[in-house]
Amino acid sequence: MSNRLISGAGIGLRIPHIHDILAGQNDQAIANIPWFEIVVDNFLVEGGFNRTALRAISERYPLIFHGVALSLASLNPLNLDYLKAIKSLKDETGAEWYSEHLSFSSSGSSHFPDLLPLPYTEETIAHVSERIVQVQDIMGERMLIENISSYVSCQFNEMSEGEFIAEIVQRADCHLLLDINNAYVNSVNFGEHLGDYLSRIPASAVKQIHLAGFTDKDDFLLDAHNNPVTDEVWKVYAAFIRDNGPIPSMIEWDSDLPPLDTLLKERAIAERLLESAQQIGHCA
Amino acid sequence: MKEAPINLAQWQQQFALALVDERHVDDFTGLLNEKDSRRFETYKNNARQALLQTLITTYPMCERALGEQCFAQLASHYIHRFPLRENNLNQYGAYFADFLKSEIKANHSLKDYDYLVDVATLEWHQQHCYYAQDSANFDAQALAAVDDSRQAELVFMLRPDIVIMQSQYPLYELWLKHRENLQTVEIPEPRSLYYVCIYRDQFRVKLESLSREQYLLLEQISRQQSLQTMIDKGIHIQALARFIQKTWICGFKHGKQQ
Ligand SMILES: [Fe+2]
Repeated sequence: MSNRLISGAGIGLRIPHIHDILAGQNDQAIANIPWFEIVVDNFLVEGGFNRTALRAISERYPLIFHGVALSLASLNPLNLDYLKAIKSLKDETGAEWYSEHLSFSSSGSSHFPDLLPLPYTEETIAHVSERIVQVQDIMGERMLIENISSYVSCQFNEMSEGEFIAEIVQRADCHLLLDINNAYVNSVNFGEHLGDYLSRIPASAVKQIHLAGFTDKDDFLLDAHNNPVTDEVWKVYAAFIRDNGPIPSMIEWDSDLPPLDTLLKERAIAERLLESAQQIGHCA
Repeated sequence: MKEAPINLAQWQQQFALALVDERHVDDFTGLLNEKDSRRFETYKNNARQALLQTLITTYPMCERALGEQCFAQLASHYIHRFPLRENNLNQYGAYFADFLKSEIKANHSLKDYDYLVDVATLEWHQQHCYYAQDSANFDAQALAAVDDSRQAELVFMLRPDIVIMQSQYPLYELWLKHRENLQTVEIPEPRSLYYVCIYRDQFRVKLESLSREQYLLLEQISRQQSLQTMIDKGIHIQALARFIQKTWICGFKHGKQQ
């Protein structure tokens, strides 16, 4: 996997914005977007607007794939047809890499449109690592796994989330998509120290960073992807890239989707922070 | 650190059971750290909201006709009866028309909504139409080159996005009214049959009213009947040229010689 094409601050492509992006090629802020991440599940359709639009976007911008429906950590058999469809679309669009969440969303015949958390145990590590190896074999390359936001935790956890992730990344020899907002949300929800969490994460495995906004529900934070990135999360992000270099980063916004312009402004903040991280790197 | 007295399989099964059946919630929350066990509700809400939103997106005409609250209530029963069984949300809601039919039959208060069974079928077809495979353009030159003696054996192919429907209700008018954003839609009396074609134009799903003859012709084409068979059955083939021109027919092949 090369980072040749993917650097700087990108945006998570959302279907209602596609028209503005394709029509706005003379607009500097739109032309300057260095890459897009797509939720690949929205494009695994036979034809119509989504497929045509994806082709047009992929001709103009580098892409990366993000999946939501693999149910990576489930004990159900891996959905090979689904993975093959992703691989074929990846080959077609020349997308740089594919990421999925460290979670499950199916058990037996029940499926859930959500990312459900796991118990942090030795057994889970062994199972998930094996599954990632399987996925990587099918895809013919390393994948990225993303830390999720959670609202409940298993009382029988054998380790912290940071340790859990670090062990999986090492055993499966995969990369990490670090969602700083998710890490922040979890640290608040479970009263843990975010610095500890991040210090456990193998920073050299982090190939991409997600940034998003949450909703404060008074007694916990809901990772709703419906708000600008908060000041606290920007601070943590700035510190992380200062210490670990200008890792490709992007804004995720899913609910109450604002005009593209709002996302471009958020992107510009990330871009400025990445540039200063780059300069610090050069000085060091 | 405690040795985990549960395994991953139990965790996943109990999580899933608690999400679909209230009676299992306590069993699952017993596995959680006490201070966040109340937040299990968030997962139940997320799952319910995602499925409800999917049904609203797929069945907007039904939602408007029934009203937000009534639709949400019916959707909630539907979600309970037909939980998500695959990872693809685009396929969720496939049984909604049948479900509505049984609900309307069982509830006197819904008796005026009989027409929504066909509206729901229409909306499901629209969803299929929106995502259907793109097709190549009709090769008019190749058709012109077919020898007169072999024309009768030709089998025409409908574009993958084309779906035809017949109904006792004027689906085309109902769809137009919905598109024009009219808040009130009079509930029509069932009449003789109406025919529509659902198709995609510039990525948008559209409807067109069909005559009975046009419907029967498209129906025979969708069943891959040869020109000769259609003529033998007394099907009016006059509209064929128009359907080719509209690109609803995307190709042809030679059937068996008779
Ligand atoms: Fe994320």
